[in-house]
Amino acid sequence: MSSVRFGCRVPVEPLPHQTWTRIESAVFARLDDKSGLSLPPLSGSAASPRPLAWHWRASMGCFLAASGIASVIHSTTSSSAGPEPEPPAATDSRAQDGLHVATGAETRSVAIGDHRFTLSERSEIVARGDDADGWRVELSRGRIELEVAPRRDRPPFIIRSGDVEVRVVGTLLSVQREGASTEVHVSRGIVEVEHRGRIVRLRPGDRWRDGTLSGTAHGTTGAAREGDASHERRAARPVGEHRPEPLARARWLEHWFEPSSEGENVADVESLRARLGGGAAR
Amino acid sequence: MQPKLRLVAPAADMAETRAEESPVDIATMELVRRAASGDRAAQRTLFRDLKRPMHATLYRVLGSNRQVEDLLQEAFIELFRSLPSYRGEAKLTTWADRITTRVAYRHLRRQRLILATDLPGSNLTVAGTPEHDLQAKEGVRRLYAALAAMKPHYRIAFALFSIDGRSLKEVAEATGVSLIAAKSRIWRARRLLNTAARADAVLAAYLTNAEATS
Repeated sequence: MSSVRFGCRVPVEPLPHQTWTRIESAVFARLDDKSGLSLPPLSGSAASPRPLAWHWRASMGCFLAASGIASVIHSTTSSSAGPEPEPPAATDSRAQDGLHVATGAETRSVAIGDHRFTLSERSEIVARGDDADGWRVELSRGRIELEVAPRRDRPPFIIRSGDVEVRVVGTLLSVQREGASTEVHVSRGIVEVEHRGRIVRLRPGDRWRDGTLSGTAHGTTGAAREGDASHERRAARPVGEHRPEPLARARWLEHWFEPSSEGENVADVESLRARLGGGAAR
Repeated sequence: MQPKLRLVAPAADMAETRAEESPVDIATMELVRRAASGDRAAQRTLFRDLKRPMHATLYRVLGSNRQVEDLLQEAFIELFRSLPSYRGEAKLTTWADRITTRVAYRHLRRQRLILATDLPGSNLTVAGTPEHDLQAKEGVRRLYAALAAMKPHYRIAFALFSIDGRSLKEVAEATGVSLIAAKSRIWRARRLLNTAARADAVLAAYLTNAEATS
């Protein structure tokens, strides 16, 4: 079989009108059935996660990511010299416009759809939104860690901490806030940080804090690298849209060719190499 | 000594990876905006506009209408829920294709061992004698049986390209991979089909006839 295509396409057997009516009714019935959030059981210790379906929508100052965990830490600013009061026990409640979760002296874990969500002690969040419009988490105090699966075409996952917003497509990173200061650390994947109109791309090992970038991945310290136009274009890319980074010639060739024990079409390889200026056949 | 290499994708395909989609028209963006905001009339319009392309994609990947009803529901739910993130950088049909193939992929992973036993249709446009039509139908059935034995992403890429007649670029967009990856999947599916055809004369005859008419 030398040809890839088939001359006769398999004709599509049409669906009866009643079937389409049934499908349409079921689709819109499910769209209308916004079941909202299901709260995990209250407990004094880290609870077993219960799946929740949360989706988040970016609005500003966002981070784009590949896959993994995002943790947002927010600690209350306190200039008082006295000891902190004993934190209240963990509470869950359905706020009028969202879900309110607060922890006391313990951590709390929750599963949200295919995302995992952990509140550290003395943390408090309010989550608003729904599957259709996206979800937003407001971190009032403390720290949350989120494991966000790749979003693909789903709305992004948004965490807001003060004037910083994190849009997570799917990434492994931590975001920590102390007062007005925000720190981002990437463990896996690539994250774009937008802050005050500037976009910086972070890679595994990078750490960004209030405009300063440092990290083992790039070996750079000091002022954050400003994003170039390509970064801004990528930042403007819709969620789920993937464009591979430009490949160096060597890497491009690796992708274009695969080892063949049969050695077929070597002539094509030779001509391609020649066209690329790779020199004579070896 | 350099290893012998085989060209997987010609250089010309590289240009396609950078080709820009023509911008989505304003009317479509407005329709999407209204549908995303909950406008039921807009949502129904989108449903009617996209239902047949999405059904065709599912049908050609799966080879039958079995479970298509549930899968179409699933695909449309995903589509409507993802509308807020649609920015118009790809055609809406491409967007829908991507969602549909993802639904098909998940289904195939769950149903890996189920063979396509339903005939893909009684109205095959293969002209000829009744015996020829019967042979063609059996060939299609065996084709889908062979596809069912493949990994889902090979099957989907092959079905979209060779059965549904999509371009390589369209297959890459629908499956969310690069042109290289799409072509590699199609190539691997072809190799597996070749292997199956060597042991199946009916399948081999069907594939040969299909090739001759292409």
